[in-house]
Amino acid sequence: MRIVVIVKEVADTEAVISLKDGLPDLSATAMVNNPYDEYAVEEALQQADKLGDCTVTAVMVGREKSKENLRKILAMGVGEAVLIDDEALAGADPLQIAQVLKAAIEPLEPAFVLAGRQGVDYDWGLAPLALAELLGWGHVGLIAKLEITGSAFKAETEGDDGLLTFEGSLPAVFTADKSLNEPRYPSLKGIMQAKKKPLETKTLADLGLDAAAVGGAAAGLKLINCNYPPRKEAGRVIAGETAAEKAAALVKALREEAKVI
Amino acid sequence: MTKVLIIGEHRQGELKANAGELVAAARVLGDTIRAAVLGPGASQAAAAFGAYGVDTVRVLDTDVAYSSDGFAAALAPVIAECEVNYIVLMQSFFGRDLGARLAARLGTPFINDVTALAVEDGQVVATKPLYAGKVIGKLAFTGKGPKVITLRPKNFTPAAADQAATVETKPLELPAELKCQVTHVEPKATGMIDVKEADIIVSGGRGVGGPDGFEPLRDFAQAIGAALGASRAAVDAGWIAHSHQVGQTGKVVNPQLYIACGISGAIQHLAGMQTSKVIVAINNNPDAPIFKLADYGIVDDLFQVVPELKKLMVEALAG
Repeated sequence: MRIVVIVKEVADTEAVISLKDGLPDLSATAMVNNPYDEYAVEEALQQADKLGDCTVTAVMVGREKSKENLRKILAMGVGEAVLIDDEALAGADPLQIAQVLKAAIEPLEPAFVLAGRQGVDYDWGLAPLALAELLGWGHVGLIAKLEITGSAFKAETEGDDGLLTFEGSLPAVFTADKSLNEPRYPSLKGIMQAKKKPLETKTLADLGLDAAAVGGAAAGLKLINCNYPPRKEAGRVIAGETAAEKAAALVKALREEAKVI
Repeated sequence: MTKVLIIGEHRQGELKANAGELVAAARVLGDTIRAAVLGPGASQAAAAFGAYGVDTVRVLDTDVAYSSDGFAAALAPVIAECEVNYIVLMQSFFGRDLGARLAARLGTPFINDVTALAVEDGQVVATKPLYAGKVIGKLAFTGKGPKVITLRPKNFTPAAADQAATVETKPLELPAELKCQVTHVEPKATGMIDVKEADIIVSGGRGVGGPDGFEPLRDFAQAIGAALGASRAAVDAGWIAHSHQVGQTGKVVNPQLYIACGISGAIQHLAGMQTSKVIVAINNNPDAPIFKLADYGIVDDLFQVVPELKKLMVEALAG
């Protein structure tokens, strides 16, 4: 049995995003594994332990230099990895990425696929869900709990009006929210072993895909430009001798100046 | 003629007020607005669209609370048949989930979490915060076919519900086989408002000192009808559940009033709350970065200030 976990790199969440000619420029930005993906990896590892005789395969769309972060995923305990690296994918939209993922993942015949709920870059959260639709599978987004029993699953997610329980049959795609688990840190042994684990690189041609169809040049979306949000001016510090005096001055200001209460 | 299909949200047949936001966005995009409502009680919810002047509503009245594959399959043929140009949903759990599935089914581009829409030189331009709002992107669709958009809540001035159109409903059909569906809904505990829906958020960070430190904040939030938020530091320390986290790996919020208590103001937290209308920071460290963003700052012990603030704000909100 196999579980596939989809991972990607994003700019470090502590990083300031540089702009060049009005577009994000990450050439000098430290890249990390998408934080939500680490919850998906942890879940894949825990489910593999429970199910037994199970290979966990990580699939990443990235570049040559992404291998360093992909090795960190292997160091957490994932058995093998596939890196899809093709320069035609620059600027590809999430639906195109889903087509690429389908071509890479379908032949692996996984029991199910896990991914993070969204990349903390463009916050799409779309590719894994679109992948499920393209494969004709069910999906549950933003899961907080997952139970696999034979070929059936039960998953819980925080919905708009309460906690939702989803049920369906495998194969399926699940996206992980932070409440799912507590991701492990790679052990020293894991880091050593990761160096020797299989990491295969594939191009679009290797996957039998046409760069003219799934490449960035054919994307259905275009980022026209980016700006920094208007900087909020620093306001004022409320003066007063005691906490009570400051609180009273604040409430007065909220009521009379800001008019929010 | 540009046709827009808005997908309404409802709670057991009661149309949610965000229908006004969907209508407002649809009016920017096109001139013919149709709606769809799906799930238990959908027929009842459909009638409420008359107040927004929407007279044709597609209805999927079913016992199934939600099925992404089923609901998308029910909608897709109608979208193709009616040659809909834009499909608009809210960026809620329901909207982002169904919107994604629908876009994939239609093979059509999707821009989610949109904060503004405009038509520039005949082209629709969608504004969307990227990197949790560290930068604001402007995006355009390329290519033909229907396009899917989800709206970030509270960014579009809701259309008034002051019309009296007679609503004609047309049924949608759920496919016989569902890959996955909701089998149980556990309603939220009463008295707990989600940070994404709240007008006022009281939020705590490392400065609250531990799980017990959240008690005065919880008490304050409940007394004034606010939601309780938290920084990543407090959540990662295990002091409070992740559902409260505001920031880049939590929820992005834009309330009228955000009261940050004992939060220093890491960039990933600021990204999640900087669009709040008014920001108050209470922190005993005068050099905390949060003060650079706050409209009003109080440099003092939050445990001294919060009880006083609670008392005075309860009075102010009552009067």
